[in-house]
Amino acid sequence: MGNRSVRVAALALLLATIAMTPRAVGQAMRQPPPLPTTPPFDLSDPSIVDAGSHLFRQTCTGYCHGAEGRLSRAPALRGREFDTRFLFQRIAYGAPPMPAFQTLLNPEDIWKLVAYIKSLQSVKE
Amino acid sequence: MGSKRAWWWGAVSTLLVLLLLDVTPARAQGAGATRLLNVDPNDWPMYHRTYDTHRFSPLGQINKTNVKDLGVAWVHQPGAVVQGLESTPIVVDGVLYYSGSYNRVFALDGATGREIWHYFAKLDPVVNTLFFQPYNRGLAVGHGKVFFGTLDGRVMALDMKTGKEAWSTTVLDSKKCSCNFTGAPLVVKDKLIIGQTSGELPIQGKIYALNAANGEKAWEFNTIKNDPKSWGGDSGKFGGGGGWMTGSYDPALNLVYWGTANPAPDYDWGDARPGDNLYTSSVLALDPDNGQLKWYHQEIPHDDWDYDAGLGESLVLDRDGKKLLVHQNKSGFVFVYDRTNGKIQNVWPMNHVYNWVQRIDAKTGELIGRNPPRLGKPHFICPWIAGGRSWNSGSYNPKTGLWYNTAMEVCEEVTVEKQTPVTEPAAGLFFGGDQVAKHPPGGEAYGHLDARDPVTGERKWSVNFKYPPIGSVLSTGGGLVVHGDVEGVVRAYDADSGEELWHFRTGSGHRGGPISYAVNGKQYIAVPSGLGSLVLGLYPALWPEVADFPSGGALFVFSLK
Repeated sequence: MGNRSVRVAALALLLATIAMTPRAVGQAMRQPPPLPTTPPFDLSDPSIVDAGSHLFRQTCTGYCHGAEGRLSRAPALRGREFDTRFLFQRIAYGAPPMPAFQTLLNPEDIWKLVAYIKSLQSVKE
Repeated sequence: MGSKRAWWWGAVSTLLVLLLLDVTPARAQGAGATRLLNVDPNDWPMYHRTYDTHRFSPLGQINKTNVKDLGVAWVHQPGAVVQGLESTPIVVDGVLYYSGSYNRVFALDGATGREIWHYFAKLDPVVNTLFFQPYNRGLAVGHGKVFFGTLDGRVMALDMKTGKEAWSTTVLDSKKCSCNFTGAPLVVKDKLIIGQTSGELPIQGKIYALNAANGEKAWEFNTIKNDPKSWGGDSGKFGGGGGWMTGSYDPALNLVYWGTANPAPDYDWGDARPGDNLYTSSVLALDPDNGQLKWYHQEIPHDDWDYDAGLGESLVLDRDGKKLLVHQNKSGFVFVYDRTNGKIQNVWPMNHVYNWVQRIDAKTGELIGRNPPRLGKPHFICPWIAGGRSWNSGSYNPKTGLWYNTAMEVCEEVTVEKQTPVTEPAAGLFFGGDQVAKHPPGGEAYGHLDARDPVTGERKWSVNFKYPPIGSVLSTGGGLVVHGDVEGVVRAYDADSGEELWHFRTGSGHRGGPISYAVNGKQYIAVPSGLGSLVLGLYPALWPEVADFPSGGALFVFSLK
């Protein structure tokens, strides 16, 4: 009897899990991981900014945010002030058609991208 | 008695003939494979309308004289508008089938636009992490089903009448490969052929055939040849390729012609992928029954520019007793083949501005005077990464003998950067550099729609556009060429002179494929409107105002008032 109860409970848990599983893009997103509250390094460190610029060219490309964050169909990033946590969150979770990078980049790399984009806010042209 | 007997014999033999021809009413309703061979003039039953990929409708009710009286018959909005409306509709027996972003599929009454059914695919959230999304370029029909590839790596079949799911086969592990399906499949006999995205990914791209009846995989063709001479070191593991758009088919030769995508990384810093990198940026002639390679020609050996050959149409046409295949890649050069054996017959440039090669030998196809970007300072290249033409298709009118095709005269500055391929936990983009759009030397970037001889390249007329057009072209038996621009205006031109005869402002730019069809004796022209596309993201570097051009997604259907 005890085993049966466990099986029933397991089945109920499985059904509940299936019912809660996101099924459709645009209707339900995968559950985001906890958002790191503080960067693991100084975002103004030139070596971190430089690493971020490499990652930016590889992942954000001229197709999306334009070279060095210049004007594109996606939002321009130069000369604009962004909240640090917002940037991390937007890169991690995306906003269609911008892809979510949480499964492609580890949090450290996302912070490097944040550092690079933050470095563009004082650029005048 | 004798006449009754004769009537019965007549009825029985008629039934037998219909069965042999595969055109019984029940099968006709389902668009059997035979109907794809002998296309009803009223229909548009596949992505390029016919296996020869002409995108030509023989209908002539709407013609040069009365096209001025064209007006909106109905409009359908697919909703969930992201990245525009890139698809080409399909019409069989008066029912119009088309797809929008996120694999939303609709069956509509072709005369009124009334919805018959819709099917919204339940997609895995992995789609939100992919580069190639959420657009879809089209469907296929046959065997009583509607087929399409999904953004999360499946191929699906729906019942044509009800829209109910018939089968769904997971072909790609999108969570791992970051690849998917965005192009329309091609039904050939009992199979469904479709290629995957992968040109910018460190994976091996393939072309697949599935059994149309049940979705079981029949064969696959790896566009990355297992040959250390072609791929030095382990570069082939990350070679990209694939064949993301729809090919053509010659039933007489039983050959499917399929263009393949560029190698990864797109740019080579020097030793990224030693060798010619077969079978990327090539045209393949495959046996549709088993996927065997019958011949190939690599148009861009060791592609250094992302001049993908997996685009648009692969025109099947005959001239002077020769069986020809006309195929263009993103370099802007048009290759003309003997389609029986792949021997080059001619090569000609669609673009006026290019510096990536000095020329291409018209007899051998050899690239002469290559100008590859390399590691170091930014490198000026024409045409840009979006191509001399993007993936949109031209249209060939067998009555005029002209191919109506678009071109983009835009250059770029490429900065090559060494990159380590990322495959875990999922494949990351593998460009090997970045680029920014530039005007050509001594002038402004622009685009044009040309009427040309597809074999010689001789130009009959041309219309220029400030913003290079990225929509497909339709030509008709009424002597019309229909094409929509980036600013949201669709126009009908005189096929012989290029004179504009009609236009209509749809309110958002054009990236999909216009078609024509007839229901109950009345001709319609359907025009997908809705600006969006990865390529469009490159425009604002030259034309900042394009950043604010309105997105959209609506199917406009026109008829004579």
